[in-house]
Amino acid sequence: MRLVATGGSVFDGSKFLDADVAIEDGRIVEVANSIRPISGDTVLDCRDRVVARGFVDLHTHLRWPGDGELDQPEGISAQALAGGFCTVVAMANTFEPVDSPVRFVRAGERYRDLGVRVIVASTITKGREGSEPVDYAAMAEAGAMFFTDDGSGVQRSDLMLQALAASARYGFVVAQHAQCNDLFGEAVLNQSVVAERLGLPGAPEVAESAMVARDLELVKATAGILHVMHVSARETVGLVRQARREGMRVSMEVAPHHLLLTDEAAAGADTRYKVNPPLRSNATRMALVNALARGEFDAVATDHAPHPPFRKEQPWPQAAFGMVGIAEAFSVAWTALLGLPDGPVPTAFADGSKRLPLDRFRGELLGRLIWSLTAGPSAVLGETCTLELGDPGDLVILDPNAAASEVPTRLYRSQNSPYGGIDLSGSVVGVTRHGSVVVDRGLE
Amino acid sequence: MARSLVSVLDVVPTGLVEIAGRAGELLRSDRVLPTLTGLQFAGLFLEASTRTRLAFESAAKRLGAGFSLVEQKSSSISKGESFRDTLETIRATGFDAVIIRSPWSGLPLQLRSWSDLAIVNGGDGSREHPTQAIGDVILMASHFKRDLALRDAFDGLAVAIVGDVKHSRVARSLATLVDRLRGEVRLVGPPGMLADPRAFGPRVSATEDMASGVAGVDAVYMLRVQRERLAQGEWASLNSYQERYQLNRERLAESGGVQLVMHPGPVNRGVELTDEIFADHRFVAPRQVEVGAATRMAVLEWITERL
Ligand SMILES: [Zn+2]
Repeated sequence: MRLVATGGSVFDGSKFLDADVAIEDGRIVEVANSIRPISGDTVLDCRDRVVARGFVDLHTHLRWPGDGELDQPEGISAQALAGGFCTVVAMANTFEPVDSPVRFVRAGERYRDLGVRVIVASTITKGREGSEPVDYAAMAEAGAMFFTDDGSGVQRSDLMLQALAASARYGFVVAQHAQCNDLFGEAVLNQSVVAERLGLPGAPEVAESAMVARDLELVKATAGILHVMHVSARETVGLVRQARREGMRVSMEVAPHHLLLTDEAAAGADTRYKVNPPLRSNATRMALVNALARGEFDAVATDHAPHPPFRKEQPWPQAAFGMVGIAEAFSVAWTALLGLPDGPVPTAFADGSKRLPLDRFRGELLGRLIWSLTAGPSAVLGETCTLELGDPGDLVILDPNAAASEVPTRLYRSQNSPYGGIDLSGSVVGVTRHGSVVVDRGLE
Repeated sequence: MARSLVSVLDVVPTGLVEIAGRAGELLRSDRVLPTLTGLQFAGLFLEASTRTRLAFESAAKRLGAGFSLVEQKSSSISKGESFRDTLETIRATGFDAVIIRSPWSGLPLQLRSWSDLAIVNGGDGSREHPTQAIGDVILMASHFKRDLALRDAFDGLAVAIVGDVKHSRVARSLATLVDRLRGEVRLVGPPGMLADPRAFGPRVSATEDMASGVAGVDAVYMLRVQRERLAQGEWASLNSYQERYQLNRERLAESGGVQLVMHPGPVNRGVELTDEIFADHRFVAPRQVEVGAATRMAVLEWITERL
């Protein structure tokens, strides 16, 4: 059976074009200006909507094996699809960290039949303890391509150097949760007047950027491939920009919550806003939104981190870091971008589509956002994400003009969503996976 | 939603006037009527503090109310009893309000969001100690003849808070409340012990220099020196700390017009202040204790809406 998406503006990985898309047997079989449906076709009317390849999340916590989790991988997979994500990278900081080929293979098997495609990350160090490297050759042999101790930064420079050297040899990505523990201390939120008022220890942005600066020197010394996770410091953006100019293989991601929320959210001591890196000042938040609009980030990555109440409803020092948000990631980032004042933006995306239901400025912003959710993160993984003949039939259909609405946090069993009560703009209307409609929120 | 006293700002502007008025009444009368007969207070003391516990217990009992300590069975991260469960148990048992003392900053704010029980904060981490600060402000208002009903009750008054401001919940509460009443606050202490003054209000400033910090102020509020903290910081030697921040007769004289020297107690005599200051008529710590006791009673009445 054929599925045809008609009338929409299609983002093909690098630009918008006016096209219909046909999918058959799980693959894209036609992308053309006008495809006439025949009887038996499933037709998705995409007028005033945008069609793109399903999103790629470089940063998802699937929490398996877990410890008293409310959300199982199946549920998180469904939430990811609802957010438009068809591929996610599963973080390795599970109850038993993914630090051996056996665990890597076992996780891959656990995730194989989920609705989303899962790329399993390996830790950088054994037990994620920062004292001994994993067996890089064996992990690479088992198929690992993304290494991270996420949840902690690799403190020791010699170990990070070793990881990056292995990355140069085997071609995998070393993804750093950049955090100098000695500068971070016992922090539970951003170093700010909010922290001061609450009498809680705060972390300065330099706790992140100092480690990024060190890591970039290590990349220089090794020709390794570095990915900087959840950037939350203004200085990090400039450091990575400069490194790229010098030809280093460095990428970086920003999380939706850092684009929309600020440290003020924690003023009432609600631990739903305890996240690492912490929510920053409004000035930093705006700098990150601007950097995203300028195309500095390779990816918007969710850092979706479900926690049951017994881990979150705790005094601040004990409460777990992390918030959920994979289902509303697009709307959160889009709402943040819509907050930018009109201004000149590089015309990279929106030139060729009359069907795009946005003005030029917002069309460019949307192109940048979709790029950061598709082709950008795919490139970090060494993959492509085009929308052409033969590509997988994984599509997301977006309504960028959907009125601001409170996003349904009921999707999650874990109750650590920071978005309750916040109006978000734009929505994921539908998702196809292998050519079948798996999310339908008003497609017909 | 029940009334709660979690932060000093919870009583601004109206509660403060009512509490101050009632505390004044209690201080003047020699017989206390059992206004809270039949009410039960639960004490949730998550850190040992005999002084504070006894203070609240006696406030409740003098007003005819009951007071019982409740236990939090597991305060570590486990799937055991959560704070939410504890609050539910407290409510089901029939308590009318919870008095909480917590080593963790912010916990009373969290408890308030998890339950509609009335909550009195008896000090949380280094965040706030509102009953202490309210009592101290009531004492200042009475000494300086200021009417707390006025928005700018403390206009023209300056208070220096000296010591380890960073880790002091009393300092945070007091700075916030004095600023809200339009008074001036100067935080004085060594670099590692100062707090960002912008957190408390526009009339709050910070300085490392004791002489300029106390120059021309009306009241000096000396904080208790925590020797353990000194040992951790750059002020490894008590001597060098005292050289710069101990209040003695010369410093008090140089400052000009100080009328009140305050201290939340218990005082380390000869540490944060000298014996001669301890004996000075301007040193009002004993009076703070009396006003504090009356304030706690007034707060318990206010919180249960019997005021
Ligand atoms: Zn992380």
